[in-house]
Amino acid sequence: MFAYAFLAKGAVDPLSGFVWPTPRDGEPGAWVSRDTAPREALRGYPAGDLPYWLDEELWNIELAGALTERGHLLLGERARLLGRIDAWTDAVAWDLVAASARRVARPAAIALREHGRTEAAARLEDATDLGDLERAATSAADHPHPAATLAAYVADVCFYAHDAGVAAQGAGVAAKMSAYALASDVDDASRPERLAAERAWQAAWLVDRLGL
Amino acid sequence: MSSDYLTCRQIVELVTEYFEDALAPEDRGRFEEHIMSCPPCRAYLEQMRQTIRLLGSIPEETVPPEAEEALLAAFRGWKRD
Repeated sequence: MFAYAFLAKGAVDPLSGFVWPTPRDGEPGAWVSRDTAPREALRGYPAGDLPYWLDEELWNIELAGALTERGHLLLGERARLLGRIDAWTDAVAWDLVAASARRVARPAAIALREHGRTEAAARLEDATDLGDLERAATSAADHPHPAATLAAYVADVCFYAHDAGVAAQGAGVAAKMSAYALASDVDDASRPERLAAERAWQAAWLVDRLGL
Repeated sequence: MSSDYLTCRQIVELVTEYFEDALAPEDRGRFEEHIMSCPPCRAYLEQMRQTIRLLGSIPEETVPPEAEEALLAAFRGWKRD
């Protein structure tokens, strides 16, 4: 079965530290099995689950043998790397950060406007880049006000994404934080659906942007 | 654990079980998802893995007797505390 794998720099599995054999001379990487790699490294992700696992390198991976589905991943008995997807870059990762932050900024601006804070709402909506968005959100959240909660989430998404230091890890932070921010105002029963819906939007964004 | 996500504090508490493959599959998945979206916890996991790898490579006979005794005394004291 074909799937995707996010790996750390150098084709390293970020959870086990396993270094994958990479493709050479146009040929796929060598097959690895549970005899030669940690069981947990033999994993792949369907396109719809990519936002949960963002990392520096995105690869096409082939999984073989009995497959086990576990949460947002697939485990195989054997696996090999087929090729790296070069479209996943730092620039795209930062674009995902910005897109995620703007997803929260929209309802944040609506909430501000509903409470008469038109100027703060406009600053959020008109922000031209991530830095501008963070400044607008921080300013809006500075005033203790019920309508400022979502703006504070926007500021947090921007800040912690930058704080991650690595673009892909920042994107992972932003994707998760924005999903939880957007689910923060729904009741407990519908929260899982709201979270899943936001993750699905992120996955669709990645598929579209990366041409998967 | 019934929450849909784990806190950083829970990650620290569960890291040994994670390395020992003692987490239920669902919890393991949530553990890993947290790690991948939390750079500090990811760094912590990496530090733990490095520590285990390095300690695992120290043969017992290379530990000087006085160091061994000091460690055992410390552990005994820790138990009593």
